[in-house]
Amino acid sequence: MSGSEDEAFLVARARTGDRDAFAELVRRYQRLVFAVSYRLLGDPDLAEDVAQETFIRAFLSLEHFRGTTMRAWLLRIAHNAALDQLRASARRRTVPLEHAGEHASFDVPEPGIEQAGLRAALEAALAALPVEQRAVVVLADVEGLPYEEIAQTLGLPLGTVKSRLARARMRLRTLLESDPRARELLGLSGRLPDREGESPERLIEGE
Amino acid sequence: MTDRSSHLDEERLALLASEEPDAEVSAHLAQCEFCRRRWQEYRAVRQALRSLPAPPLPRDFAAALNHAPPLRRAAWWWRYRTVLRAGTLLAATLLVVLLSVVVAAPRFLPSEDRQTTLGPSPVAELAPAAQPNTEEMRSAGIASQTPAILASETPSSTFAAATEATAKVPATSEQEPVSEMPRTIRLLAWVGIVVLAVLTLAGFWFGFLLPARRVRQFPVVRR
Repeated sequence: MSGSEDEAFLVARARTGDRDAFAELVRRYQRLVFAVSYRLLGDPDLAEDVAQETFIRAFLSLEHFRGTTMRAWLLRIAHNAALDQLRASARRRTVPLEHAGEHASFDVPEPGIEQAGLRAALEAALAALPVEQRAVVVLADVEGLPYEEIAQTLGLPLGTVKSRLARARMRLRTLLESDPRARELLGLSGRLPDREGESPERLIEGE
Repeated sequence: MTDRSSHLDEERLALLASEEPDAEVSAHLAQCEFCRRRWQEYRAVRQALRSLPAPPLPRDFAAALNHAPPLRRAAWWWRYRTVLRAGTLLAATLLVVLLSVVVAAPRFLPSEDRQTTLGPSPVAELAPAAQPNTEEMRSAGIASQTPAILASETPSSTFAAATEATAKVPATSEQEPVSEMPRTIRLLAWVGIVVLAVLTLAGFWFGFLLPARRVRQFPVVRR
């Protein structure tokens, strides 16, 4: 039985109220859902609430699931729930987003990035992005989802996903460039000698 | 594109961080140091993002679901709320229609229909006794059945109407079994009204009030 057939079978069972089948689906996607929620919100407690809410919402509205992958559907619910949280936080003004990355770090061994400074710089730069750009870059670059699935998750046309991703990467590069540690570790050169005096943000082809 | 003085669009370079450059772009990147270095920067940023460690899972969300109350059984009114709402509106509409027919409509029906709907009139009850004396019957018919007609119409037309009414009296009293039918129908109608009222109230509670309360407690998924 292939992965998608297996998943379809689990979904069909979960729709009949089978909790074990739904629990299996939750186990498959909980790391991803929590990680994306955490990257969007920058706060582990809020992310935990959002992940929990995502799975309850999904369980209650399983009959509406169709025409997409379970992963994209769950991420879509999580994204909407995270946006609700961000709006609520903005109203309460308890979590200033521009500082979210600063106090939201967690202690894990770092096999991928040995430099804790770079990780902190990346998280701070992600937190500084507008939420719509952050969502795209988290899904595409942090989690490695294909464009089509990101479009399904965010309910956007493919072209919009690509242009948002490009703008998010441009902004991230600029933000990281302004951090001396990140600039050194990532080899970001800033303005190159042959482009001096021009904005690094916009280089038009055929000048 | 391969002209050294031209450069790739910045957005294009940013997207190339996760895409394979085609032959033309590859040729340009091989020649243009600026674009190549900028492309490598984007790739480095993307690689760093891909290497970000996943946050540790705070708990097993699947286990939490198993300890949760039986949501599906509790929320049947939520899952079938659309059907419930449609049914409630239908029941309410039928209730209004039935109430109009039973309570309001007979007053506006012509007297002939009213007689069959409401059962025998006082005139019809008097009819057997009045039958031998046509004159008495005529005066009783005028006095009890058509006071409104008396007030508005000329004496001659009143007389004609009274005569017509009197002529119908024996026919009505002859159809005694038929006059039982409206009572049965009225009884059934009132039973229907009670049932529809209960259905409307229950539907309002389960289809509208409970879901509205749930939405306040737990916002609906936007789709």
